[in-house]
Amino acid sequence: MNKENGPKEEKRLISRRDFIKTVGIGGGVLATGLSGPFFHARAAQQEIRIGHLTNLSGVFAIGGPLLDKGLKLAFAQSKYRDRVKFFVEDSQTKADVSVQKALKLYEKDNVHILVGPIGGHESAAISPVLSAKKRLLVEAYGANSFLVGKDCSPYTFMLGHTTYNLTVPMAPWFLKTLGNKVFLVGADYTTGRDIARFFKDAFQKVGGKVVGEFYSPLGTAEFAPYLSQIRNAKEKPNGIFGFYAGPDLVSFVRQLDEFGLKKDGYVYVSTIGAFSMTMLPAMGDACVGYYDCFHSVPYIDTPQSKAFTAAWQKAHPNEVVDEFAIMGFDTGVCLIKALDAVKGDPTNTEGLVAALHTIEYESPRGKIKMGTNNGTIVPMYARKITKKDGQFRHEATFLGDYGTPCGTQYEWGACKLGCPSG
Amino acid sequence: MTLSSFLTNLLYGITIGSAYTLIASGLSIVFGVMGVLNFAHGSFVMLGAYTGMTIMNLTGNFWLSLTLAPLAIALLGGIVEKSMVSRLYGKDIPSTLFLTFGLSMVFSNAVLLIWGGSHYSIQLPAYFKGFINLGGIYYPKFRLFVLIFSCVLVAVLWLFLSRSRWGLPIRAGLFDLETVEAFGIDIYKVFSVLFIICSGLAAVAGVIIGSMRSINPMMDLDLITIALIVIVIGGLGSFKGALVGSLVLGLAEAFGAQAMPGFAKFTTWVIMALVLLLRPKGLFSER
Repeated sequence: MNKENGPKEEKRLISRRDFIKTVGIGGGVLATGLSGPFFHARAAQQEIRIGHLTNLSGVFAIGGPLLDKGLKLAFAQSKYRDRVKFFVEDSQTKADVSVQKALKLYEKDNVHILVGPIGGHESAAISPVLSAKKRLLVEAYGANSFLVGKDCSPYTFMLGHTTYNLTVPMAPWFLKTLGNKVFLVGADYTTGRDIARFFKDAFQKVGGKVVGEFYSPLGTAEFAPYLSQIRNAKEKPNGIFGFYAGPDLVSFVRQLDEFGLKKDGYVYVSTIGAFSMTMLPAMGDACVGYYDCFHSVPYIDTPQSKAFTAAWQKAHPNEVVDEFAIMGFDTGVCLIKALDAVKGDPTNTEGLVAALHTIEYESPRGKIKMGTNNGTIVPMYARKITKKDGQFRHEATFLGDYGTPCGTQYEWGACKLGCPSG
Repeated sequence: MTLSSFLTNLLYGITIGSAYTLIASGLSIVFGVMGVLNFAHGSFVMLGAYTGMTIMNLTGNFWLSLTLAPLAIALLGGIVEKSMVSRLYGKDIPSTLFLTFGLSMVFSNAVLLIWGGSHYSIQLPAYFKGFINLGGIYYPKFRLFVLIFSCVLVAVLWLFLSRSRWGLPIRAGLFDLETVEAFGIDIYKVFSVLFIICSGLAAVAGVIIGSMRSINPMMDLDLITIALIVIVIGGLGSFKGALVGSLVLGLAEAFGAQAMPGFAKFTTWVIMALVLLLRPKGLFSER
């Protein structure tokens, strides 16, 4: 799929006299040393070609279109709105396809900037290929921890999160808010296991106790046999913590309700914004009162969020404000600021890289700052799901600003660009 | 494992198995009688779930959803059979497999276009929430309804196949289509009716499954995989095989998850592999 937006070139016929006149004037300009300002003015009018390699099919098909709409909304509000042209490709949530499409966008469509796909495995595949060619990659959503660790690159920037920085802040919060006993759960794959492991370590460090744990195969639709393990735990936990996404999450949350665990006071806490706005209707009232952790809160009462909500509702009146849309918009805000730093010249890749490496900006998420390992330091929130007048909302508790630390003590190693403390 | 958790898992396994029967029996019978390996059968389940969800959202009436969605999908099944599948009768199995595989992709993309990539589920009415005490086992009301409803539907289907005027040529067609035609029976009319019934049955399963799990554009693939496993275990073309295969799968899921949480899906594949090794045609093959 290839969608192109932007002004079309007009065909214009010129006469031989016009041609000689133009060549003459051009030669004169070059000869008199006026070429500097001329080219500068030309750069300021040059088309800004942005590639958006995103997930229009596969498990993240829900997020890709929203990210794209958010990204385009940010540019539509900027001074670059008439110069920007987007080239959108479907990564299909496959690493090999992502690499192939990323190269196509740079080499055939001649994009200046590439906004990368959602999957961490996709960004991990694209980054080394593009970095070797000194091509810019801006990841709008998820991140692979290794890309802010030993595989970091000056040309790759992570605006979202890692499983680590979305998990560790929840340990002291859980202890303080719910209690010191947790039952760990999760989908049995890297992300599900990593999140449980990070939480377990952090929770035990602050004095918490794990009373049981299980990891169900990815794609589990029936949780009844697993739920009985929670009920039969030696000690009743103060809450259940772990990560499920997509259909697994819907089944898990609905069955917690169906099998009476919710009624009996078992609180489920997740992370990575599992309870995103577009997921909540599928779970219905079963998810109300549960928590997750994320770095953006739709409809939060800040000037930036209010402005974004108003703009989004005007542009997409029938769609709720979703985290993916916010992240797309945030990416746009970040790129616009970086373009400002290079006076709107999208061909100045090194200038953009330098600008992004130290970028700080305000977005609907709050104040965002790039960490030394090219991963952002973001405001983190514990979010409780509420429902009022038929509308789902997140009641947010600010946990602090968190980036992803790196160093030899972490399995993703140290980033050669530097490591933030976390 | 305590007696209580054993009985809970047993009940749970039978419930899930009964819902799987509604999907697998249609796939199995269509293959057995018509020689059509309908890969789009999972799509009919998915479309049933989406249509049911839409009707539920519009009317708030679960029973309307459970009735109208299967009727709509049965109609769609009829159109698909008449316009496409019927052209391939008598051709080899891969021809219908390619056609229905293509159709399943069309339906998946149609779902993405109409409903988007979001997850949905059918919100149950209040009277289906809560539990019933079955001799100390607290079982969700809706699951119990699924169990009873599926059993009734399966019994009706069995009576239809074994006792009705339509069932006779269908059963005979499993063995010898030419002889059935020689008796003056319009076998293609039988095929049409069968395809419509099985599509509608798939949609019933869609509404039921959509009330317990997530409805999403990829659920068709999960469900067709389950149905294929069931008919491999039970035997191609056999209604009895579909019934037994579904129960085996449901119980394997329930007890597998309890005994070996990380290997719950593994148990299913092990059973399938064992059946393939010991009875390559399935437990009750009729082809």
